[in-house]
Amino acid sequence: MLEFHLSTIVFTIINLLVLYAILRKVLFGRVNDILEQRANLVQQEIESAQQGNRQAQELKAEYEGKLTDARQEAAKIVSDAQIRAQRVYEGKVAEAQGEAQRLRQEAQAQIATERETMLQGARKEVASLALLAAAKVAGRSMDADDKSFVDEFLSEVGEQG
Amino acid sequence: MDAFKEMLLEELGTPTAFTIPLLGGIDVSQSVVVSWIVMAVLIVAALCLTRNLKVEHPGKVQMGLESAVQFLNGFVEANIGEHWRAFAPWLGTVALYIGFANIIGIFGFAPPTKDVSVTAGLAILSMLLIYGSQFRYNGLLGGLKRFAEPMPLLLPINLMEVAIRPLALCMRLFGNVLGAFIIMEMLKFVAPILFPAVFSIYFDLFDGLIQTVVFVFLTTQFVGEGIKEEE
Repeated sequence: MLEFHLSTIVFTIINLLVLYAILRKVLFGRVNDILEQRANLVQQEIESAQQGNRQAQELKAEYEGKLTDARQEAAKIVSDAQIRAQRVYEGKVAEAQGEAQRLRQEAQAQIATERETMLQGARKEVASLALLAAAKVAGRSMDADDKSFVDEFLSEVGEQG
Repeated sequence: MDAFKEMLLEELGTPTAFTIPLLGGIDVSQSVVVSWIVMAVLIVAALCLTRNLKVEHPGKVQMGLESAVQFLNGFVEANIGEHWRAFAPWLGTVALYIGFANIIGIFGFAPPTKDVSVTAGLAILSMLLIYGSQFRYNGLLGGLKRFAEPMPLLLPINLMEVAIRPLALCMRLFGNVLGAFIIMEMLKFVAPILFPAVFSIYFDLFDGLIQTVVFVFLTTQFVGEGIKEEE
């Protein structure tokens, strides 16, 4: 029952060493390889995710900066346009006022001219009527001297009137 | 009763299966032949199970295999420390071999571990592993110093342990498996139906696996003691 056989001991040792050599390669090596690969994969995934996150943050900051710039630009454009519109408006108003002024002056001038013309016409008329009346009174036609005399008289009257 | 005694004695012997006609005849005992069967089964199973390993989306079989190997790695790392990587496959191999050899009684073979020569071989390997690693990782002087730890007074005991540890490993495994084997043979003789099946769960399966764990655990522990740095 309790006999040691050298051959069995040696065989057992050889058996175990052979089994170890095979299982280390076929079982433990393969499984550990897979575990290591998986660990590496997870590490890589984490790293790439972190990198992606960082890139996204950078992009976000960049876009936010751009957006602020764009807003400022837009505000500037709007205010420029307002200023220009104001200027144009003021110009137009001034122009219109000038135009109105000119028209009024023209109209006044025209009225004055017409009045002058009318007055002269009336004066002439009155003069000729007066001459006519005087001629009738004097019973003779008027010559040039008389005419100038009448004119002089009339203008005196006009100045007084 | 005499017939039973004779049968039992025959079962307890370690019959020679055949003799290799070399160097004046090398005896190949039955336990060695059964060991070969165990090895063949383990190798074929390992080849089949690890045939299609995937890094992503592992199947159920692969997940079980991975958790088993991870458990082994964690256990060895906890007991041996930083140099665990070199030891895990060896301890795993020993565990698979002893475990399968212990429970092969269920399939009608005589367990190889009931042969004291087989357990002696295992114990010698454990001894070589324990003291080999002690010198390998501490150097010659450091390895020798380890015998004077934790205090020089224990030097004789530590030196005796070189022989006692493998002897205890060898005899514990052999005794347990042989005892379980004898009890099972007696049960089979007394009540051949149903009874043996129920007791086989304890004596073949449970005891066999417990003894596997004990053997591997103690070996790991001793290796760790030899090379682990004191914190």
